Amino acid sequence: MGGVVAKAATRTNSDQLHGTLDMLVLKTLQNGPMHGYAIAVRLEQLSSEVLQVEEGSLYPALYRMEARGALSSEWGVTDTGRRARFYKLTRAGKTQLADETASWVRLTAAVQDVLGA
Amino acid sequence: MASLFRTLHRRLRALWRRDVITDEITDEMVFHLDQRTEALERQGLSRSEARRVAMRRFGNVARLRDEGYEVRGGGFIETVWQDVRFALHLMQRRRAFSIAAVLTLALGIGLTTALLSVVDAAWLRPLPFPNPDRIMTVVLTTDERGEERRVPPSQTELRLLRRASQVVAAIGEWHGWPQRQVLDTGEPERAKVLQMSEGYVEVYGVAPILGRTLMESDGRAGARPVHRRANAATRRGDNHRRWRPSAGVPSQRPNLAAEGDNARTCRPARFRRRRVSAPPAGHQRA
Repeated sequence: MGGVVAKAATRTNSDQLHGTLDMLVLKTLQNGPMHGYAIAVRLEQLSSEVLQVEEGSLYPALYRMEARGALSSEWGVTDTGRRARFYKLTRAGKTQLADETASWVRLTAAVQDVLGA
Repeated sequence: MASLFRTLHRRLRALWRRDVITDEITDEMVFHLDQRTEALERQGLSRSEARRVAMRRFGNVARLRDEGYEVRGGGFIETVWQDVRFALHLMQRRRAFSIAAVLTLALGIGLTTALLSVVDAAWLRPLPFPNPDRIMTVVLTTDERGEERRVPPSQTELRLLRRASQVVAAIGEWHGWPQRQVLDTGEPERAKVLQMSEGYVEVYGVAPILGRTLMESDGRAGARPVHRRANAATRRGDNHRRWRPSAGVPSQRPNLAAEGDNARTCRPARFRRRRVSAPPAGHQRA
């Protein structure tokens, strides 16, 4: 029997992540097209497994971003020969990422200032 | 705008591709679960335990699939389309009830429309004259053996009212006549005719576009009859074409079949006396 892989004490609350999920997904896709599972894994890796969202909630978020034109998608084949839908950043998505990143940096800097005062 | 069209296109397309979209979402989520399960198996979990953990980390698949379909599917258009199909199906099965329901709706809509049309015309829509709330109907009544009767004012009474009143800016009298044949430029023409006294036009604040308004002297005994305008009943506006301002005061006289007359003035095209059953601001009795 194995154990459950989790870091409950240090994991970020998914509610806290919800508002920034779009930005994180866009950032993850900046390096090229990826399918949903790869995006989830990449998010964990980049955040040293601190950021763990309910993985299924990634898909409605992907669909919403695609509907808004920030992403485009097409079916493809993975390295292991499985069929998967790959998501790609569009020009509008790159603009949205830049805007949201700038806004996030301003917000965190302000919060940091308050906390450090 | 592009986003709106994209959304509309996606929603409409989903009406005919519901199964395809649902299958795609399911395939995508199953792929994710399979990948996660395999990854957990590589970490040492058994197949069943890995699947259980993968499912827990993923969340409620059915809920998330529905949530995804809300975005990628037909959305509200699909809901409306389903409602319409369901309603048509029911109507086909229960025809008597459907006919009764449709007739009831039609009757209700018709009555409501008629009622609101009257309310709109009588109270809501302002009269097309300056200060419409100050225009009112004055009714003279007489009491004969305990029975109240309306009586038309005489010219003398009108003059007295006009001179004695401190609160009335203008007062006039009118009578509607039945349609008469008008002999105009040699071609017989039927027209609605309105007999009016001086002050009538001033009540509505409308200036004639030709000639002058009626004066007190026009109403005195022995004065020449003056016709302001014969208002064409069947070809409204003919008089305005014939008596357009650039043509000056008409030289040809529109002769009423019953009376000789003299055309002096022509009122603007926008002037149409509105008949209302009750005045907008109150009904004053004298």
